Amino acid sequence: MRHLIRNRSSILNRQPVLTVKDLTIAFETEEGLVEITDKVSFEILPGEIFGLVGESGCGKTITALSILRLLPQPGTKITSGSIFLKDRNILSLSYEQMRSVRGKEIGMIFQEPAAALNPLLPVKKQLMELFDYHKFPDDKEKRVAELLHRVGFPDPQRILASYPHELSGGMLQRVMIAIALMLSPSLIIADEPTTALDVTVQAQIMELLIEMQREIDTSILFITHNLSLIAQYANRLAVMYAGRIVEENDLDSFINNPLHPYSRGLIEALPDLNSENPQLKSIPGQVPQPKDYSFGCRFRERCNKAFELCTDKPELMSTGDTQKVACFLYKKEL
Amino acid sequence: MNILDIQNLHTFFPITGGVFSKITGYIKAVNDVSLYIKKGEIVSVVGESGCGKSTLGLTALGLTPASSGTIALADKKIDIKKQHSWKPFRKDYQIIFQDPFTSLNPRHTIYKILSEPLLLHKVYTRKNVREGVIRLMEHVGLSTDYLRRFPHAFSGGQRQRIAIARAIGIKPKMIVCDEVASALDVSVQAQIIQLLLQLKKEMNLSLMFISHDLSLVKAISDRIYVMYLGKIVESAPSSDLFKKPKHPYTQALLNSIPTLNRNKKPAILSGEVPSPINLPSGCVFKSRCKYAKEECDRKHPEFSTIGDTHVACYFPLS
Ligand SMILES: Nc1ncnc2c1ncn2[C@@H]1O[C@H](COP(=O)(O)OP(=O)(O)OP(=O)(O)O)[C@@H](O)[C@H]1O
Ligand SMILES: Nc1ncnc2c1ncn2[C@@H]1O[C@H](COP(=O)(O)OP(=O)(O)OP(=O)(O)O)[C@@H](O)[C@H]1O
Ligand SMILES: [Mg+2]
Ligand SMILES: [Mg+2]
Repeated sequence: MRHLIRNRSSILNRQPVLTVKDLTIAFETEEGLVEITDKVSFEILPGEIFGLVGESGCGKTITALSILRLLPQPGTKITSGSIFLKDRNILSLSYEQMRSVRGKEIGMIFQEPAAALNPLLPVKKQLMELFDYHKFPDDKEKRVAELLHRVGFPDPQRILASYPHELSGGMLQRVMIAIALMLSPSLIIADEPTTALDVTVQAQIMELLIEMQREIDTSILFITHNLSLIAQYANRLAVMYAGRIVEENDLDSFINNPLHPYSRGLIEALPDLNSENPQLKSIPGQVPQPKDYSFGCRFRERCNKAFELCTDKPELMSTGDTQKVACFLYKKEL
Repeated sequence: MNILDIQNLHTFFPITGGVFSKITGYIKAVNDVSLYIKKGEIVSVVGESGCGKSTLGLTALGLTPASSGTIALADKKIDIKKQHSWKPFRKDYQIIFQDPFTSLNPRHTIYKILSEPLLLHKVYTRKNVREGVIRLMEHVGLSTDYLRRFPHAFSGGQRQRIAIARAIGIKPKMIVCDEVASALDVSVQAQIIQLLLQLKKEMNLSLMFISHDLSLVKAISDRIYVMYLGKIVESAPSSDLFKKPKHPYTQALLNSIPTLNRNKKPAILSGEVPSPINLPSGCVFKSRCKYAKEECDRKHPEFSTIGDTHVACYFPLS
């Protein structure tokens, strides 16, 4: 995968496509506001594939949805922070402006494609609506058929004529991917884009995303729980735990030397397919729920390296050119 | 006893076209599949997206009409042409659907979603059903504070666990699990798999485990069926399949699994994907098979037996 890692200095000098800063999202409960994320910050550079990983419920999807201003309503809201698409403040755009950003500038692959597509409309209508909204010039039909072919459909015409329930889970996911790629957006948010795909189709789809990235310099925010997939295809990643980013790293360094004890746990939990009897391992303890998020480091109850300092809140700090970690173990060393 | 026994099953979906909505062809989603699951056995079905796995599971439980073939549940033959012949088996044969979002009623709280089947099938009474619901939530690692929430207020992985809790609650004999754990991270996966294995041990639960996550499949299955374009192309005990795959498609699957090693890229399976409407003559896999020879054009190969493996290939790998 060497070819993916571009010259870092040339990347670093470019303006980020997406800048998320101190993003806090909360939902309303009877007992008041409960924060789901806590000051999440990251940047995505042009042409970069940026991974976001973390256990179920840590806030990955909520973060992604907030970038598109699609947080579930009512009940969820951004309480502080900012999101910039290049130099435009997403949070200050009008409804209409936001609508034109979706699809054209930011493509979205949703975690549950069946819920994102309209069950009452054939696939073709749904694809064309997007084209029509964005006043796409001619040749729509041809482009759509071509894209469907590229996401692995031998019979685009059948797919176009189908209603969502006539397609399999993985086929819906691929339709979703085709929709996200259709208008060649500068940023694609891919939330578990291949969870419904077998490994051979997954490899094919990832190859397609990489081609897009190379052809038109698209950046990808790649959300997944599959670390191996991130290892193969991302340039950089952020690890999220209980609503906070606990580590940011480039991939080579992350795999050989993960910084946060939680990251280490994630890597060690990966099953080894070569072993006779692969055990699914887990990090001991439970992932806390947002309303139980406690003071100090939120991982400390599950951490075998926890010590007295961990009852304070660790800030994300740099430990190298491209490394950041929120853990007091590194404070000690400094 | 076989909890499920399927012989020569076909499930075709008609395609209509033209002004008179004439049937112009069929999607051969399940095309001559035979498969059995013994009591207490965990059997996985793996294969390419769109190859017919979900349709197979749905047809087995009478939720999609079969075109032809035989189905027996717990050694009792089903009249596949009559929907109601599955009715006596509804409680004992559960399915966890691939898409939890659309299978959970958005207007019902989690408490209602979980308690209803428990009451309907009299596993608990109105008096103690709350206990049962709480036990289920704990089983799948969800906080019991959330009972009054609606499905949309959960993350994808949390919703999937609610669907699992609903299915295991009424203590079925067999569950068709359609991609139940693929969207979960390894930690939660481990917990769910342990739970399913424990139910297998305690209640002799059988599973048809449909999944494309091969590490999960390896960890949980007794036997595995590999499907391609509506057909089973290989079946083998779990350990044999991973150690010595016999069908070139199985081998391709194993070679496409991504690993942490950034110098070893997942292999791409090239070649034209045939359409399930116009099936190629000869072996269904030949257009993508790097070992294909002239013989493979003749007709789709019959199964041959090598050790405990059954493989439909003229030139099985050695
Ligand atoms: N509308 C809502 N109301 C209340 N809580 C919510 C709402 N939406 C999400 N949550 C909670 O916020 C947390 C983060 O959810 P999110 O969907 O972002 O998780 P995730 O990291 O994407 O997880 P997964 O890997 O399971 O998809 C979860 O604990 C979830 O229960
Ligand atoms: N109700 C239906 N009407 C028409 N065609 C259908 C219907 N259900 C499924 N199909 C078709 O049958 C084929 C098999 O679909 P199925 O859902 O069984 O695939 P699958 O193996 O489960 O795939 P995935 O891994 O992507 O979920 C597909 O070509 C699909 O389009
Ligand atoms: Mg999610
Ligand atoms: Mg399916």
